Amino acid sequence: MKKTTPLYLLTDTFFDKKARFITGIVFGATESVLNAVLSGQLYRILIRFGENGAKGLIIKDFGVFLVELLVVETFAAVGVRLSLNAVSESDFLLRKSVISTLLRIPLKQWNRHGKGYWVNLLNRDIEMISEGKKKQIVDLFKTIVTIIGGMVIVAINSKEMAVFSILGGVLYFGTALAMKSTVRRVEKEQQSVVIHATDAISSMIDGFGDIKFYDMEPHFSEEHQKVIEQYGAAGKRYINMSMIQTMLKDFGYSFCYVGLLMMALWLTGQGKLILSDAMYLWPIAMQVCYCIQKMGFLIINLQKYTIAAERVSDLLDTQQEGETVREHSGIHVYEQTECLSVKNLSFRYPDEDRYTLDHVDLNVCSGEKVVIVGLSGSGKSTLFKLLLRLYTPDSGAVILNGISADQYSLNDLRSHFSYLPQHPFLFEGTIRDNLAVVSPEAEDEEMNNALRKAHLLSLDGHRGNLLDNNVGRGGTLVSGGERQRIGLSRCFLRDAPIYLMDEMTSALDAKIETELVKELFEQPDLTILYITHRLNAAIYADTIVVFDNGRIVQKGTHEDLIMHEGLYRKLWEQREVGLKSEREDTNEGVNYHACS
Amino acid sequence: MITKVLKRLELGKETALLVIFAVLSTAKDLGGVFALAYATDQIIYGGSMQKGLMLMLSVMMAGVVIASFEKRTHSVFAVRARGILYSIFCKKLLSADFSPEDVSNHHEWANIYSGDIPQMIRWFEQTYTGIIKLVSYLVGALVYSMYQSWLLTIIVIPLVGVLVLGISRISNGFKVHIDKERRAADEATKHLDQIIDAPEYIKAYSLEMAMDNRMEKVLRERMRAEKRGNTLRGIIGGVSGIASFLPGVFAGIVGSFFLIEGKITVGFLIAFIQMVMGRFQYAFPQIGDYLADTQSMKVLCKRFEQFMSCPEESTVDMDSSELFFEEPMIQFKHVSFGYEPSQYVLRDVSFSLNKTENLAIVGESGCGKSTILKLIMGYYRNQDSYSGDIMILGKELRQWPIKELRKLIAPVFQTNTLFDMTPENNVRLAAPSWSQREIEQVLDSAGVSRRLIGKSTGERGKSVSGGERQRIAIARAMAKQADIYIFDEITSALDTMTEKQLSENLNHMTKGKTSIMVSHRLDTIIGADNILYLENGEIKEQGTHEELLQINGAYASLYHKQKGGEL
Repeated sequence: MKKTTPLYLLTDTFFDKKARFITGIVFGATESVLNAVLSGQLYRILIRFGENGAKGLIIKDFGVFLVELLVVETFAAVGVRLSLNAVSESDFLLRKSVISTLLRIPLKQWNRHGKGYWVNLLNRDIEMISEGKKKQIVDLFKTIVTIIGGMVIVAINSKEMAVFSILGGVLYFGTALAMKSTVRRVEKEQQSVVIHATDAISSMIDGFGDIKFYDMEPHFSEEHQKVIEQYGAAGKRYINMSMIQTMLKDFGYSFCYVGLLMMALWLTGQGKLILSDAMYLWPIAMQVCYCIQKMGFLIINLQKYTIAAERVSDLLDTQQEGETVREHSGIHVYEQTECLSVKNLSFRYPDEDRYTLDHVDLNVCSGEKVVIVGLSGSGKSTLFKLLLRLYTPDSGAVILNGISADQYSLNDLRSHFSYLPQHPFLFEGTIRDNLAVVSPEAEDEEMNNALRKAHLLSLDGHRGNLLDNNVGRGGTLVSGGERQRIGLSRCFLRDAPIYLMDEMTSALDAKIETELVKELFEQPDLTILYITHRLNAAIYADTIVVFDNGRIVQKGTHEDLIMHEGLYRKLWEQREVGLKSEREDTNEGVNYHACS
Repeated sequence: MITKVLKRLELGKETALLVIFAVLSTAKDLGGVFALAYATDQIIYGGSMQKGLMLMLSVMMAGVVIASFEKRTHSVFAVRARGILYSIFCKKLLSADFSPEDVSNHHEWANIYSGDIPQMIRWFEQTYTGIIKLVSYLVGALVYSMYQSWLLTIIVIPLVGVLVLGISRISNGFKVHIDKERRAADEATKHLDQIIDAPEYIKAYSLEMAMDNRMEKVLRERMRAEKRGNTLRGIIGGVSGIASFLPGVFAGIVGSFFLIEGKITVGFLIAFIQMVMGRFQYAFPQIGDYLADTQSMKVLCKRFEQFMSCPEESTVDMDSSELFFEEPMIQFKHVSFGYEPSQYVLRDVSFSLNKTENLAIVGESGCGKSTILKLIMGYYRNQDSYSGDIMILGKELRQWPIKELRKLIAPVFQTNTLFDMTPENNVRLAAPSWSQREIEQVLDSAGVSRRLIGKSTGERGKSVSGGERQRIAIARAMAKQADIYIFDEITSALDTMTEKQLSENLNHMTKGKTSIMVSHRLDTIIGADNILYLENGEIKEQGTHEELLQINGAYASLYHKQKGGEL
């Protein structure tokens, strides 16, 4: 069932690109067996020559030897290319599928880890898997083929040597396996410390301005030093572990080297082999022995890569968003009167004790303009996130056009909304690139229209065609207001019936803000939900919804709400009093803590 | 470049041990070969076989001990060196003369830390010692062979030399290719970083497919670069493989004639072949790898050294006699500025701000408001990009040691980074000597909810709302007790009530101090002593609120528009 086990990730090349991969491996292994045979032959040629001294024989022997050599190395070159290319291709597929999985996991899963974790996973971990494949898996397969090939040659000549080379190899294999779990633990510990350190640095980079102006350098270098010390401590354990591991490995190797030579000479003494054959078999048997050892060693090293592969496979096995959507069998059709309604919606972020949304009910008619106000942190933005199903509500339902939102596929559901967050995401490229993501087939004309509608006529400090202006990496070349207007243009291009606008005006000038809101609200077809903390847009709204502490405390038009005692009036008066008091320069009259 | 990095490590003892053990490990290898020669001769020429084998066995056992300590030395070096490089990187990042803009513009700096440093250590551990071993093995083998038969040696060894040169030439072509592979990989990483920043937006707009396609293009390019590399790797591997056998064959052929003449023993010839070929069989392809590794190591070290050679922040103390306290706190004299030459963001801006005055800057998005703030904060003081004079207490900005300048200023940005600790500790960073009570007071007056006290603000302040983050940042600015306060659109993420409450606090706290506020909400700046109205980087109007209303120009129309919208 679980297709993406760590081991699968490391061996997927074998399954996906079987033909090329295996050919590559066999070529490589042939080279490795024949290399051993060639070394053996060289000794045999010499000893045979030493025994009978015929010059013709040596020329023929060396001639054959050279031809063999050429063939072997051609095999090697082709083998490397084939198997590495197969790995490169499967790497490409893995990277692609990791990214597309990451893009599709629920936000809840996404937010479980910091940015450092994902950056590490997408770069270092996948790099590790790739290295693991190239260095470990390819080698492992090659080693296995080499062992079999070498064994056959040795066994034909001398069963005793064959048995001894297996025994020697297995001796080390055993000692290597004994270390497996310990090495794994130490490696994991070290890797996690490195992630901490990387996180520390990237948070320094992000908060550089604050660090510089608030003298935090000492504090941060101290924090970083602590992580480095942790790394040193983990390193000490690693040092000891690796020493023992090496000792075992070397002991095994020496045992085979000397043991096999003694064995070969003993067999010569017994008359079972002639000297030249004994010296021919010795390197081949050594190669078999060495390969069995190496196989054990490769398996140990595999742990290092498995840890990285585990994280990637965890991600790949995360259930994707929308996979739980039920079939359209039991669609419950609600009254068709409203276009969007929210029934008894509650939601709590993981790791938070308090409900961000607490039994919220809201009906929005088609074409209605709703302004949502409330203090910071009262759950306004979260409502949008639930409407878009970025998070799944804990209880209650969102009903869109009479059908419960969880009956829609995610793409279908989201295609009903044009969402404008506080900080729309821009990626490096021109404005055209940034608009084209939303609507790839839009003509320049359409794009220009959308920009005009968003009151973006030119970028500050840029010339030429507006669409060709570059926004810089992460949008650093545009101001906050320009960014939001590019985001708004995307909303226009998307042409979805319901607009969800979150604090659109926070970085806009008052002049543009008022015009934009008026223009938007004048369009009869659009349903607009507009979160704002400025009340000047509220007066144009059909309905004002007031949030407090995750609940809707008031609903109505500006005129209604202003007549009644309540949070809205308080907010409204607040700004009136504020305006007056500022003009009269008095600080009296209002206890601002009353509402916070 | 590499030696420079090695010097920075200051790991004299550890590096020496690396070298010593590399040599010892060579001695172990050569010892095995000598013992083999000795044992073979004992057998063929009828000596004591036992003696030969005992010698081999003891050389081998000594070898095991050497190898384990060699590994230990490597691990010790790697762990220490990595810690040291990490530390000096961190120190440099914090002490160099970077502006926050420099840091956010150089994404590759983070890669130096997470990618380059581990790779550099691996080079020291594997390639550096590998080269030493190779060289010492060659020397040892040469001396032994010359002693046994100088003629055979001088016939065979030059061929080996020729082959080494040939291979190193091939691997030089490899270097260009490594750069290409690396660039393709960097490009892919850059795109990934962007995606990671914006999961919500991607989901809301169902951009998953679009992102997949973008990434596929980049990744395919990366795969192509890799494949070209693989072909090259295959060819280099094959050629090196042939090269590794040729000396052995050559030595075998020539050696056979020496053997017939009785000038050398069978044992020596086998040992000689084993040295030339057996070891070279692995060592020769390694030369190509070592050279390629060293090439990329040089690139890495260059990048690291470039980073490390960025100028340090000056630590020169301020000579306060050069300051003129009776001069205005801040004075702009005909300042023009452009990120690119001939494209002005600010044009001929002049104003003056006294010690107790509040300045407000308003204007449309992108009119250069924030640029004025960045100039004052010294972001562009190393560049020739501004003309005119910016005087702070009668001293030109460029003459100010940056640290002294920063001491003077407490900025609050549009988005502020908090660190993963409690609000109190975030504030304490700015005022280490304050008591818990004082800190709680300042948090209170900035309106930070008591609910948050004692709880961590999460990674980069993510666990608290935008408004709370802003309030904590303001409390931090208050705690700094600086002379100049800078507020860049700080209330844009706050609701009306909090905004009102905050701007009063701000008035209170900046009383008697200099403050500059950029805002597009005119409510918050009505009380300012001086208001600059900027348009396209030029000061269009200047004066107090009342004065500007009287002029009845752009400011007045903006103000009336805002009021109209509100009422």
